[in-house]
Amino acid sequence: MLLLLAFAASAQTGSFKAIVSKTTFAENESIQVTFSIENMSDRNFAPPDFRGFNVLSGPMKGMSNMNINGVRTSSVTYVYLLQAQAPGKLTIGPASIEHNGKTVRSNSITLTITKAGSRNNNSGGGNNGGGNENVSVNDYLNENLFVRLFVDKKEVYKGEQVTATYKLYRKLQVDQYSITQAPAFNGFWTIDIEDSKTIDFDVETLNGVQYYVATVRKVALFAQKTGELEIDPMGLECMVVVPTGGWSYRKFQHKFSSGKAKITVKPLPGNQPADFSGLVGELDMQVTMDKTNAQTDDPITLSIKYSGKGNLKFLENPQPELPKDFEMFDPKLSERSTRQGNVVGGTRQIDYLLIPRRAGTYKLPPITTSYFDLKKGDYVTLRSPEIVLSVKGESSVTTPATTGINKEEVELLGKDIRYIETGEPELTTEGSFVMPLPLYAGVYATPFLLFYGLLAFKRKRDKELGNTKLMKRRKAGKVAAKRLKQAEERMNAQDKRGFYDELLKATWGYLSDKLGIPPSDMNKDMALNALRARSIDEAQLNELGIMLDTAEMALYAPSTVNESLQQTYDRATAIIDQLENSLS
Amino acid sequence: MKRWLIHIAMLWVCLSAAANETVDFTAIYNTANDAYVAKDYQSAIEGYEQLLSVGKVSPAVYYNLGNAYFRVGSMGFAILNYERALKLEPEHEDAAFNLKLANLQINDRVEPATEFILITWFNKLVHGRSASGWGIWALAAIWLALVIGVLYIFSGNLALRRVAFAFMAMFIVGSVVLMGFAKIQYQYENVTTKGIITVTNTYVKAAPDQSSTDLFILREGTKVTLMGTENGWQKVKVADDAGDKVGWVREDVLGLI
Repeated sequence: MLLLLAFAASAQTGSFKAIVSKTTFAENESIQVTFSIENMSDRNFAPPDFRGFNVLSGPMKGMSNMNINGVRTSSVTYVYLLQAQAPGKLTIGPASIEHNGKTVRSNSITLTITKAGSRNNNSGGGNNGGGNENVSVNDYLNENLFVRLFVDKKEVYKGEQVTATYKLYRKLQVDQYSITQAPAFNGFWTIDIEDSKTIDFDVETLNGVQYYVATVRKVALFAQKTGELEIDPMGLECMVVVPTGGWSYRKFQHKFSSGKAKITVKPLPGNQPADFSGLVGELDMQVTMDKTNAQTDDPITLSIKYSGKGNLKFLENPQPELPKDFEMFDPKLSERSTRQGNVVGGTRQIDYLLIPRRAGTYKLPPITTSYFDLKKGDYVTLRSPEIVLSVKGESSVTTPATTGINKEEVELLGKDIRYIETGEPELTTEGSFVMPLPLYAGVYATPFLLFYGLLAFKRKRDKELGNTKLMKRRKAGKVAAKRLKQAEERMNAQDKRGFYDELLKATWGYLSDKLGIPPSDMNKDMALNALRARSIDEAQLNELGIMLDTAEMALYAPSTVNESLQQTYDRATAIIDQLENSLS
Repeated sequence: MKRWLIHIAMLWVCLSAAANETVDFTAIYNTANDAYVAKDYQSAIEGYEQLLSVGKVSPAVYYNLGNAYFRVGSMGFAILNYERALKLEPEHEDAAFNLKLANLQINDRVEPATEFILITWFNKLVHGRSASGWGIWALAAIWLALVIGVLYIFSGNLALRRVAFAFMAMFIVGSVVLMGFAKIQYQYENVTTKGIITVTNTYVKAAPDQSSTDLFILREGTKVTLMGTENGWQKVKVADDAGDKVGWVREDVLGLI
């Protein structure tokens, strides 16, 4: 920008000057003249008479106080919007103020006005305001009244807050305004931060130029899809009031629009927990129970309180997992949104009403909620501690025991238990057995041992018994020979009685041993029968019979026996020899 | 001979000491009964529990203790002691009746699984006599078998020996069967397979560990099958409509039948 500065007057550090942006204008171009008064009072400001110009608007008075490096600067500006009446050289005369009782004048400016046709700077006129106004007015208006869209972030996660601010900048006086194009914010969940019906202007500097600035709308956006998203422009229509000197003014209708903005929405990382709530930002959770010792049928409130930054509307209500012994009602919700600067947040409280129906000690399992923590750049899972709840008393509502009861049991319900047992308790020692187990095993095994013992004894005895008989049988011949020898001795000694006695003993003994017949059972018939059974021929048996008869006769009636001792002896030895041969 | 006398004297001393003790225990029992009659159920419970704590048991003690617990509203312990009484004396009609009443008072009732009628009969037969009773019968049978065995060994008569052998074999088999009964009953008396939950309710865990998952809740008076212990935890099985449920509970929430 070209500045023409001229000091017409100065008092100390004060200055009073007239400024135009350039010195050559087209005939139909609007000319902005600013009278700037610094560090001086603007008392009795008198504009020049602007001869040869039409005053389109003005004066617009601006004031500012600045403090730069401890030096206080106050400045007052008067702005006029002019249009030349005819081409040629025109002079804007000096304006005057009264400072410390003296009249101070500004510089005067000489402008060259060219013919309108010669310099047709047609800008196309997109946002032409009043139809009867020309392009240069539009340019002027656009420069001094516009709306801007600001976005605090260019790249966000899906679900992360991005703040869009629409700001109205003006230097001109605006009578009324209306929004002709409200942004739709497709693809975003929106929470309004500022959407004022009345606009309050502040002074703000944009690119070194001071404006009256007002925030028309500020909105927190939460992208619902990923990729490149566009934030819609806002269209405004204003009635611009331009004073034309004195009390008169003109009004222009001016339409203008903010630009649009683009942001990139990134998807959230893939390692998303199953219980991810959708919240991106910060979150805190508190789970409380108004009491942990309760009576049955006595309502308990379980509160889950979330607070944090981000869109808490994304949060789903967690479903507490409680035993069937609790009746749980639909939760009561209370929400409050808060803001810290432009960061949207809030609290959400979910109150569940629980009614315990049975006594017992119960556990409320931890409630978990996951969110994406922007500071950590990762998912965070909140987990409430387990709450232990003790319920006492009997419920009046349910009689759970009556489920699945049969007819017999229904009859039993009204009855009382039977009386205790009295009398001898017949106490025993717990877990006792009739006798210690090893002893029992011994007593049990004894019959087996005894049985086998007896069996063995019997077998042995049988064996032994069998052996004696055999031995006797075998030895029978020798025994008989011995006895016969003794009989022979008796014979030689002429002891008749002794002889016969020994002879009979020898014979009977031999028969007894040989035939296995006990001597007590022995008689002549039995011996003969037994021998006959062993197929001894009759002649021998006869001989034996005669011999036995003779010997017995000789023993008990000696007179009747004619046979000599020697004959009887020979006969006996012969028979025993023969039997020994046949029976061996 | 002198030794024998000393042994007999010692035995007599022991027996008389045991007799004196029995008198004392009976006194405790009677005092507890008096407390029950006077509606001082807490004292009655203490008295009966004192008997049990020194290992003196009888169906009557368990039954009366069950009644006292029933009166003070401890259904878990009431059921436990009725069950114990019935274990010692399956035909204890009063205990069975009161157990039914107590079971009606509790919340979760696990219906006993219906078993095959022959098994029921068999159990009734075997549990109808104590292990000692069966043991004595088994001994008697085996000694009788021995007597018949002697006849078999020493008889000269072949027909008699045959009959004796058949009887001996029969008595031996009979004795073995009785011994089997004694063993089953001994097992039944000395090995606990069932328990009763004695606390108001308890969470059943997936593992013997406090931090493990809760599977389901068991309530006071519920009968469970014991499946083994580990570090103070008991593995239990409960019959349910949807099949058997198995999990772990702390041992102190259970009373063993």
